[in-house]
Amino acid sequence: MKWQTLAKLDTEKLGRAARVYKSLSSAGEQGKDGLNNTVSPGIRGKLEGRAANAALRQVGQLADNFHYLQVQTGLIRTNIDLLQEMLRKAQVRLHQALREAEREGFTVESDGSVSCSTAGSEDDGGNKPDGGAAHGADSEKKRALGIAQEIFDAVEQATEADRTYARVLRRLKADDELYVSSGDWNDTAADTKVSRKAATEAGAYLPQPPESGSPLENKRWWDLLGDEDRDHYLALYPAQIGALDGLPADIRDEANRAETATTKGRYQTELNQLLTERPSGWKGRRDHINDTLKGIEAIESRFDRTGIKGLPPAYLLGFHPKGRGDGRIILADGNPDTADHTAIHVPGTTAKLSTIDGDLHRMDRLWRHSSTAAGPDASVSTITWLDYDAPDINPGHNPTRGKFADEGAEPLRRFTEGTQAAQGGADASHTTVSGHSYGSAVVGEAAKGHRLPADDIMFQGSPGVHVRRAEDLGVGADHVWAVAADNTVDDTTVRQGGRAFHGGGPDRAIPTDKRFGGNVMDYGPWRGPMGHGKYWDENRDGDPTVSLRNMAKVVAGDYGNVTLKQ
Amino acid sequence: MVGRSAIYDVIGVPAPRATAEPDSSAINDLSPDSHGPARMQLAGQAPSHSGETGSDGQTVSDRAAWRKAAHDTDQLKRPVIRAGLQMAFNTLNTLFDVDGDDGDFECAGVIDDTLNSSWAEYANKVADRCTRLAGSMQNAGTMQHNNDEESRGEFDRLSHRYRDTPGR
Repeated sequence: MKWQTLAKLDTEKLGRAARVYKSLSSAGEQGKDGLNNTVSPGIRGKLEGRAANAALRQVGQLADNFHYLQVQTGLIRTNIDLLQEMLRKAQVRLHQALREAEREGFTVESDGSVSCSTAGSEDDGGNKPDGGAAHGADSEKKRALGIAQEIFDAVEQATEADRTYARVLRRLKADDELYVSSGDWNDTAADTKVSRKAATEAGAYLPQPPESGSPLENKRWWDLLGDEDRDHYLALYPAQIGALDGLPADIRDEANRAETATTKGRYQTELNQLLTERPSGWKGRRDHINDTLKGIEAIESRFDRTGIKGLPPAYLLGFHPKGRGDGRIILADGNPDTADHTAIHVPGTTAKLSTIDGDLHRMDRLWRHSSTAAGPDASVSTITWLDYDAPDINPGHNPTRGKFADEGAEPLRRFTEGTQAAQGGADASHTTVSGHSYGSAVVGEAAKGHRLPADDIMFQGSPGVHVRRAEDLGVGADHVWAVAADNTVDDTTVRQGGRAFHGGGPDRAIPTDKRFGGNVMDYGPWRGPMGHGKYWDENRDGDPTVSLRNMAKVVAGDYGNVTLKQ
Repeated sequence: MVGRSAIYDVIGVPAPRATAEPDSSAINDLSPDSHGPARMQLAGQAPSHSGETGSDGQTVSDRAAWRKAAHDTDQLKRPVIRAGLQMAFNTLNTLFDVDGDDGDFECAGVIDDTLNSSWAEYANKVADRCTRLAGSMQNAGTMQHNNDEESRGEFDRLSHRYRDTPGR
């Protein structure tokens, strides 16, 4: 770039271009949300048959177009904004140098060299591009050289930014067709990475989130960010934003949806390659990819249930293929930020991405019946929280060990604190934290020492929660609720077998023991020899079973109507 | 009317005509309160309560649901068209003077020549897809088809239009 170009460059034109892309990205978001949250639920809730299913497929594909449009043009907007910032800085530097030259009475030549008024014949600099040479007496020459160097550096800075961003922006040309393939999302993942690298190399300024900040500090950081910086973060760092406890649910959802789409694209592309090339050790990677794709399928399937039996929009509050070992999926039925009642549920042994579908369905049912219990004037959000390495049933990674609970406690506490921060404080929502099976040990470990910001704590089929008595959980013994599937093989094995490892105190008490001191809820009539996974079952007519109804009443704060075990 | 720009939906249009084909111009009134083309009303198929079933197997509430879906889908194209129009305008009146002052500003050419035209076109296609899908929904709810299977066929035909081709 010539210095004359930089000097005259109207950087506001870049601002105008960025604003158009911002509008397009917003239109994409609006379209995607409108289709997912209004059109699809409207069809699902009121229509059925082949035509309705075919229409839903078309709506889904159109929503993909809008999503692709949103993410790609959001990325373009961010890149143009950051380019504008770089060029403005370089331009300010150049203008300062030019003013300095003028003040000194120097002449800036067309090649960027600087001549003094007392200039004699010089032999240096004629070939130097874009500034850097100076002519004149010694003292003047020194000042002129300094100015020439400034001009050179400013132009160099602008040229580098121009080259870098031209390369990035060229990648972001729109697809020429409306079929959004895994290859397109794979490209988007690469485009995001390249854009991030460009921003780092160019030294673009983005206010960083507080290092190891508490959820409340994260929230404050986000609240103080301008809209533009927020958009830039979402475009460049979706994985980080999606994982940041304390941020608003809709922002995390947006980031995680983008992250899920690009991960799916990347993984499908990689899987096709693996299956073709079969490099050594490929099977392990194939299994990981297949497990992750199953998890993504479960998430998408939940998105597609919005509107069925009144199910509200889902908010994806966390997603990562690996997470802390088993992958991360945190998904809310309904917006927790505005919910009057919030339930955060931790699944147990063997929970992972590939099996999360069952847990998501359980929370759908809990949402439905908690909402009924809460009444039409109160809103409910039920959250499936898988962000810990749940134990498997195999040697060395088995559920008798407490380390998985120890390691899961802190992330659960942070997530719960973050939810509370985003809701606006401790009194903004009535919060129940729930744990099934081994998940109850995670909840107990997190609540130990009265450090979990919950109003109620609820356990299903618990093998022990690492505390001796209900009062040690910090919510008051009368707000601790447990349920057991008595006289069933699996549930009895888990609870009584786990007691020795997770039961609290010298007497190894578990939450369904009377001496533990909490409320023991009624499970209802016996439903067969296996019951450990049946707490959330509905009857054939869609009514809740006794266990599900009781849990729903706790979530809704309707304690008086919870039936306790006699 | 294949290939007609969705931009006309905002800047003014040739009068639309009703047709069973999911065409950009097929949408006349996509308001959820609309009861569809006149011939539907003349057929005397407007039962007084939502449980009653017409000859095509649909209830009044089914038709209302299709019309609402059509209306909501059609509305979503407007912001895209607005942004696409601005982009098309920028393409016609290039932001930068790439033959003059901005000649050695590489990004100017990329934005003006490569990005704006491709995204203006993409936005236009997305808007057009909204129109077509809304048209099919409208048809599904206004007795353009005799049964569920015919409506399904119309939706599925849209898939062929937008199928994958080797691209980018």
